[in-house]
Amino acid sequence: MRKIITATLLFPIAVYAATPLDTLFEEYRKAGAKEFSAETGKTFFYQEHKDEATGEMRACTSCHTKDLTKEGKQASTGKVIKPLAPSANPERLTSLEEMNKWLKRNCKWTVGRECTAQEKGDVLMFLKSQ
Amino acid sequence: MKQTVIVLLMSLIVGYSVALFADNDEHGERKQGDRKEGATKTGLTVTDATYLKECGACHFAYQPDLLPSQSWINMMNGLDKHFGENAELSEETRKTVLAYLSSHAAEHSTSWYAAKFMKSLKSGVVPARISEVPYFVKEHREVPKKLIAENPEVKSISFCNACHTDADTGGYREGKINIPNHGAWRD
Repeated sequence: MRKIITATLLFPIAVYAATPLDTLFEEYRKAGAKEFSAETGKTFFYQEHKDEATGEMRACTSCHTKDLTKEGKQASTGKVIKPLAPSANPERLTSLEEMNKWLKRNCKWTVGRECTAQEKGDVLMFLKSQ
Repeated sequence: MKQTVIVLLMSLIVGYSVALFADNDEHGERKQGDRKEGATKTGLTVTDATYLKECGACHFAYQPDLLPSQSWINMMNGLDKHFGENAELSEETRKTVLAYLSSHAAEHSTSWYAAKFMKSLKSGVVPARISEVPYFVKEHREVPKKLIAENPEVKSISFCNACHTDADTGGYREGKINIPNHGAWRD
C-alpha cells in the first residue's frame, strides 16, 4: 500500500521532469510530425538552398561547418560560433528558448521559410546524436 | 657664439612644435584636460546584459550612444531584415533590447562622443548604420579600402573591433588601433 502511494506521488515528478528536447518533440508530434529520423535530419542540415534576393547558396553548414564538433563562423561577421554538437558543447539543446529562437531565424535565413515540425524534429534528432 | 645661439633657438622652436603637435591629435579635436583612458574619456559603455548576449552573439555590441533613438527603433522593428540576416527575437526580448537601446541612444547620452555624432547629423536624417553618420565618415575618411573592405580579416568598416582594440571598452583611441595585416595607424 505504501509503495503504491509513493509511486503515485512520485509519478507527477517524472512527468514534469521532461527535458526541453522532449517538450519540443512532443510539440512537433502534436503538430502532425511522424517518427523523427537523424538521417533525414542530417540530409536536411547539409542541404543547400538558393536565396532569392542575393542568389547565394545557403545551408546550415554555411555557419556551423560540416563538422559540428568544431567551431563555426558567422557567415557575414566572422564571429566565432561555439560547436553545435552536444558532445563538444554540453550547453547545446538544453534551452527551450534558445532552440526556438535559433530554429526560427536560421530556418528563415537558410531555407527562406520557417521549418516544419517534421523538419525541426528530424534536425534535433540528428543534432542530439552529434 | 651667434651660431650657437641660433642653433639653440632653432632646436627650442622645433622641440616646442614637436611637443605641441606630436600627440596624434593634429586635427585639434581633443581638448585640454582630456587625458583619461577609454570609456572614462568617451563615456561610451554597454551596460545591458540582454543586449550584450543577444546582439553580441553575431557581432560587436555597438554602444547605443552611437545612433539616435529612431535608428534603433527602426532596426528593432525590422529584425527579420537585419542587414541581410534574420535576427528575430521573442517579442519580450525584443522589447527589452529596444527599451535599452532607445533610452541610451545618442540624444540621451552624456558622452561628448555621442554629442559629436548627433551634431553632425542633418536635421531629420535617420541613419541606418553608425558608419553612415557624417562624424564617423569624417573620422575614417583617411583609411583606404585596401585596409578595410579588401582586408579579409576586417571585411567591413562596421566591424569596429576588428581594428579598434579598445572598442568594447568604448575607447576608440587612435593609439589603440591595430589593423590586421597592417599594424598601428600612423598619419
